[in-house]
Amino acid sequence: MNYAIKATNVCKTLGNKHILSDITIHVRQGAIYGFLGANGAGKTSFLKILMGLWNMDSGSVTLLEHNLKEGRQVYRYIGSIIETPVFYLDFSAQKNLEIHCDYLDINSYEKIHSTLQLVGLGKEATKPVREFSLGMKQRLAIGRALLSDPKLLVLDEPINGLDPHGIKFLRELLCKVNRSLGTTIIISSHILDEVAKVADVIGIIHQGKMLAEVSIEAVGKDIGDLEAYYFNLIKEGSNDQAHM
Amino acid sequence: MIKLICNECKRAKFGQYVLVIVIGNLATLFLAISSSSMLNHTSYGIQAFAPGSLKFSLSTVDLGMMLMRSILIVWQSILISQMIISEYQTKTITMLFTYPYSRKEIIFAKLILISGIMTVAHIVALFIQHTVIYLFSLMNPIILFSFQNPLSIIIITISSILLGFIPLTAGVKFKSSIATIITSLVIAAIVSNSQGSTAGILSNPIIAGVLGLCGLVASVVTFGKMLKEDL
Repeated sequence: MNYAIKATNVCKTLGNKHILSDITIHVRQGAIYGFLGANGAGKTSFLKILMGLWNMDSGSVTLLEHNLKEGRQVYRYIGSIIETPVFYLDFSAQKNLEIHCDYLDINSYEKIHSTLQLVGLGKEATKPVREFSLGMKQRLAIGRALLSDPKLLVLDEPINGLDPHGIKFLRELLCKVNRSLGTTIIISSHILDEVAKVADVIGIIHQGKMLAEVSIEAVGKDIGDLEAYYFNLIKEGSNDQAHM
Repeated sequence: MIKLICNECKRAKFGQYVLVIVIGNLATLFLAISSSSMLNHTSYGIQAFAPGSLKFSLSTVDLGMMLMRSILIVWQSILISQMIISEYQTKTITMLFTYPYSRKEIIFAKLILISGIMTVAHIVALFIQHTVIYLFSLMNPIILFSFQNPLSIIIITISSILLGFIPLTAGVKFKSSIATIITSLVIAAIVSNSQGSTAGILSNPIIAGVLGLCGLVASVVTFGKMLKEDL
């Protein structure tokens, strides 16, 4: 089986605190992987390691069958949102996307217009990003992540700041991109409901440890099933750590 | 690398930079020429009020270049702040570091661009200060023109640019534009300490070389830290 993300025994310590302990994740190509965990569980830390923003202490990570240690060319095929959406605030949405194209060697800016239309910011192209609301910035960040037709999308809490329309829109957009382009998506969230609606597989992380990696069908699409499964796992995980 | 430098250029504010260089040079010329005129004037200069006191021995062009170097050191810190530190403050650096280039390439492109802009600014300053003061000295003997050894000028210019990178260390450590600029003000105050007889300690090529080396070491250490830092 081909994996878009294959992380094995990833560890990260900050000071005396184990942020990530032996995290092993397998995300098969073409899947939507919901990465679930409470605030501070280690979701963002792991995604930062995937994107090369943090160095791991030990372990190995393969993205789209390229080992991270072999260079950064693979990032040409990866779109991402990590933590909050960041932009050059004095520049317009159009200019920010042009900068993105420049760094990814996308020679034409033609796709920018259609991308802005796609994320509902067609009329705001020339407006400085400083004047955007958090929801608009989040939409723009999603547009930027999709601009290069990535093979892998790494989305860290992408629904933060989105209103109910925005959340529904994002859900439909991710499913569409996944189905039409075969894009693999890893989406981190602490909102179980939203992940249950889009993910094929879920991974649950708690206090820096992976508790489970399971298909959504095995858990049940119903939000009640996922909630029960999640809280049981967390309880067991906490008990195990208390006994150690 | 050239591609990355071009990308940086697209975000750079070159119009603003030209304006700063022009205004800085004009202000410096005004200060240098007016100070020399007042201090060396036979009727109302130092000698007129305190006959026999030490003569103001600094030539007008040395005074001008001393002031200009101080201005450029502070301005370099503003460029560092705009191109590097603000990227950390607004977290746009995390976006740049997710692109298919190594951190080394991305930061190096920024440092090269800043060095390039500063080299042009120093050359323009040398040209303007020397040319205008020379022309003034032909018209007015109180305006003193002297020409320094070209090798010394090259050493001092390179050292000045390297020294101007020390604020990067403070800026990256504290992730603060204010720390960057304050460090540059301290450096400018130290290196332009003239005592009325020399054009600041940077005018001595040996001292300039040593200070330049300090700037280079600080930059390399900071560069290394930026490569490893978790963001």
